[in-house]
Amino acid sequence: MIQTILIVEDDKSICHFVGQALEYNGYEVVIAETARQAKAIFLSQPPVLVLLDLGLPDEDGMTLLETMKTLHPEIPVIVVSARIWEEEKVKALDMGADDYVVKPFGMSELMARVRTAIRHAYETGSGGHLRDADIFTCDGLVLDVPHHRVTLDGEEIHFTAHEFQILEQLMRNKGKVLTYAWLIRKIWGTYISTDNQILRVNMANIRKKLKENPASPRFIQTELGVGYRMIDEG
Amino acid sequence: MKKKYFRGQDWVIMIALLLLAGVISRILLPNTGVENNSALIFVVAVVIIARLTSGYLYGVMAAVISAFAINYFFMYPYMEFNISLTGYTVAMISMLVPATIVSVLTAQLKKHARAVEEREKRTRELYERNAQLEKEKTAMELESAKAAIRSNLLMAVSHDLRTPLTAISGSASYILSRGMDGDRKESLKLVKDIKDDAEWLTVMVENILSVTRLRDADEPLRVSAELPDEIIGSSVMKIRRRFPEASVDCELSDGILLAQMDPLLIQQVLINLLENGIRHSESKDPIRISAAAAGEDKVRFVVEDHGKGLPETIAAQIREDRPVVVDRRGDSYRGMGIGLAVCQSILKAHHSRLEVQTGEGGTAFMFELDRVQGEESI
Repeated sequence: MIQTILIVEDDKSICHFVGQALEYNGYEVVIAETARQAKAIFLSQPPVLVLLDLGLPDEDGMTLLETMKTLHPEIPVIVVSARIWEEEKVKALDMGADDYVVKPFGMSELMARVRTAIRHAYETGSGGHLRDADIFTCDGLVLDVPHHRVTLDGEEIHFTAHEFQILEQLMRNKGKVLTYAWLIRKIWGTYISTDNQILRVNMANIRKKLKENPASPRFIQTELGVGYRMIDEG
Repeated sequence: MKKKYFRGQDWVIMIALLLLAGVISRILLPNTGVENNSALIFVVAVVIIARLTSGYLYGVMAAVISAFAINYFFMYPYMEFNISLTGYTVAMISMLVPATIVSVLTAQLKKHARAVEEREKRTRELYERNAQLEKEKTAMELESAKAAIRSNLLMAVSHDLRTPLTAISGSASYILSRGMDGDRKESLKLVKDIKDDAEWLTVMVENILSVTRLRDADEPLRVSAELPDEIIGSSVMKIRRRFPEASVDCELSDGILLAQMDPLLIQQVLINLLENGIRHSESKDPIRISAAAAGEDKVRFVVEDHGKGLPETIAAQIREDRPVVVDRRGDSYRGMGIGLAVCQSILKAHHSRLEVQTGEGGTAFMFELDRVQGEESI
């Protein structure tokens, strides 16, 4: 089955080379240059994935993102942005975007993100039930939720309750960036302030226990100013 | 200041106090027999009225009214005037004199108090104006420092952007003009040059944006408690993506170390310093990058290469905390000035500064950030 990707982007050169690259990788490409076109295509021939540029001529990209996520929450949206400030990435992710890439981006990076997002949508949508699973694995790391057990390359490691919960969320959402605010809300609830320090300290402990080298991480990747992502080896 | 002679409040005070004096005298009269104290009571009332009211008018008026009241109510024959009495004039004068004196004294006192108040107000105004001027002066100094960074940057940018842009459009035109007939290998090399130059431009733009971000924020930086290991890790990952052949050694901290910073700006500093080592040190030895606690309240970052050392002019500029300006007669130091000048302004915004040690054995860049005492585990 041919998978269609909707590119929402008003710059012709970018449409051209991204379109070419996607077609070369076996996808079918539909291009919308305005939010209006995008909505029409999105409804008439739902794609498997949307590449959404936030700077559009006729509507704020964030609004379009919200509309799309209301209509078809199961269709993954990757936000493409030229604005590098992390606030915008955080906002897009919190509004339901599945991932983001910043201009200028490399083609291999974009293809990897596209593949991950499509596979995730497939796994969570059709019988995979990744989010409801009990046991998660990533490389040599195994997390057993009911038994509250973590093993790394066969060796058991002890984690505190909070560390375990952070790790669990990261593994449940493998490949996806979890924002600081999202993680803090999920683990400590809403009563805690937006102070990230508590998350940082837990993260540092998790990394030490996993013997992670932040310069070449095996499991957890830092997205500075935005959040953390469990590396998806697939 | 124009005085107001007829104030309702003063009338009320006068009438109330006179009535009070009258009532007290009336109560005392049957009990003190021959000793009639009403005059004394009225004198007290007049003095108080003179003190509480403004100007002379009420005191004098009260004195006159009192004299008549005493004569009418409290002197034999009661309830009628007897002007012929000798004591009457004495009573009248003994009322008027203290009333006038007190009124004058009070008026003077009030005038004095007003003068003091006025002086205080003026002093305060002067002080405020001075503070305002001081603030404006600091703002102007800051503005001129920023302007210096800006113009230095603009100069560097116009040079450093033009070179790669020329290369890109030139290479692309050449490939286009040759069309399909061109040497494939040659074309591929040109395309690779285009890609390199475009990446270089990206780095430049990121640096420029960092400085814009500094200037945008007239409010202080939005700093947070960050893990230096994360910042170092992220910087090294980014630099490895651009220079896959470069070798970098990260030295990570033992315990949990937190420092106060804007993480993306400090990442920019580390990337610039790493890039400087990779591109300009002319050494293949690994570059060492580390962060460690420096005492209780600082975290010290070090980026060290084993290359040929910095030109003395640049080292001196850094040591003297002047914005780095690279003498551009050749393109060999392309981008170096901007990179280091951006580091300097970012660190300045963090109330820190770039330090350098350089010589035959290599160059070490250092800077310190405020340490955050974090809980070991929560």
